[in-house]
Amino acid sequence: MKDYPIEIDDYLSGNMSISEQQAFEERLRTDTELAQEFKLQKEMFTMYGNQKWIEGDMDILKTDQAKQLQSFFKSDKALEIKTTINEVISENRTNVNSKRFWFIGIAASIAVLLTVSLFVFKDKNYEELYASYIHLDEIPSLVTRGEDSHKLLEEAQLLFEAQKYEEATRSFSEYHQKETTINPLSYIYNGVAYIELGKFDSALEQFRHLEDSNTLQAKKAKWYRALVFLKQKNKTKIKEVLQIILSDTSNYKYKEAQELLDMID
Amino acid sequence: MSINEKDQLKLLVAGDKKVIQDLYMHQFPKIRSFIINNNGTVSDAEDIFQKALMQLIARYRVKEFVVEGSFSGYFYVACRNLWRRELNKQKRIVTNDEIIERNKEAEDMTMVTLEQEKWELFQEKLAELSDNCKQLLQMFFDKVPYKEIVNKLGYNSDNVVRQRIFNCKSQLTKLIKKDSRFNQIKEL
Repeated sequence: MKDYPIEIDDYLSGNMSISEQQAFEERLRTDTELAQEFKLQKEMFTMYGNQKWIEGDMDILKTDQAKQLQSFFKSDKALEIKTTINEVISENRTNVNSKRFWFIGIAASIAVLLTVSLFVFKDKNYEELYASYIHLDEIPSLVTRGEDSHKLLEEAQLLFEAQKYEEATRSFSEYHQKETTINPLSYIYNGVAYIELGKFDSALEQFRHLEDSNTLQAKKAKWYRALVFLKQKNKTKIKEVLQIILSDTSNYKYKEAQELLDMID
Repeated sequence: MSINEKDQLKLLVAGDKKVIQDLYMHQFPKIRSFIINNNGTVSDAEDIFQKALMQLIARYRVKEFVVEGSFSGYFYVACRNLWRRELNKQKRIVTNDEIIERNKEAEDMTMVTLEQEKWELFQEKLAELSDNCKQLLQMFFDKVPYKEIVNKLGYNSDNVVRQRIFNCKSQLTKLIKKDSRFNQIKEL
């Protein structure tokens, strides 16, 4: 096995003049053997350095091993295990957070109240259901420990926590206008603030932005939309959204969606 | 990996809830603080924890293996790589079609798993080199300029460093290429 050309190192470590770089790139285009060698050397930078993670070539999916992995990930068994893992995660979320005990207490008493009240005054309980499902403590904080935590966002969160929703929505909107990369959690905060203000269309708009954000938070949008309709006492719409959530057990708040649907139906 | 851990791994692969709970208690706090300190949220951490477990389970189901060294360390690294990848991930178009989504997810999880395996192979090969080579290469991959390496390690000139790195990296390249796993996972 012969050694790879040392020029690759010179190129990758930035030890080439501009004209040398251009000549090298030209060679890469025509010399397939060099191009292949180059690929491996470049890959080493991802594997060993702190550079960006480069996603592998999708061609790899054609290998037997890839096919076996893929068929497992698609299987019902995989779905079942994933659901179990998510159950463990959400159960621990409940146990670990001491603040939650307080909420559970309230939720439990509301649940008791509800079962009683369901027979007595069926229409009045939407407000209470909303209160027991909103769980403000579940929304991760916007204040980060790092140095680049955002001033405007911090301010908006403080206003939100002080229940000054009018001012909070103003700060969030300012943030959304000024920034190009938006922290998706800000849509949740802003949306909930709008719900509190009774501005349901604006709230829905925030959750639409959340859903379009293509971030890990986006999957929460449906659940929050359900909460908007709950507060609005719009039974048809709530049911519609809950049905969507219930179409996939891995959806955010699947269990709660089932519970809620049972209660309002 | 201890005998106990081996048994645990078997139970995990079957989807045993108690083992998952146990892993959550012992591993999740570390994962959570790593992700929160690296621009993530608690729910990101939960997502990564779930994906890392699924990845581990899938790998074991396709081909049984034992973890060299501590399970804890292994799992932490798998989560760290997943998060590195997640941070750099290209935004993809989300569809509402459930089947397409599920297929895409399976595809993505497969890619993640294979990339992690490749990463492990590369690390294993690097570990086989001399300490001097490892040190030089680590600096090279972290893009430390030759001049600085010359000063730090007391070499005579840039060119000596360049040649030395080249020799070390040639050894590493040969080791990687010789491994049958590399030939399997390199694209067709």
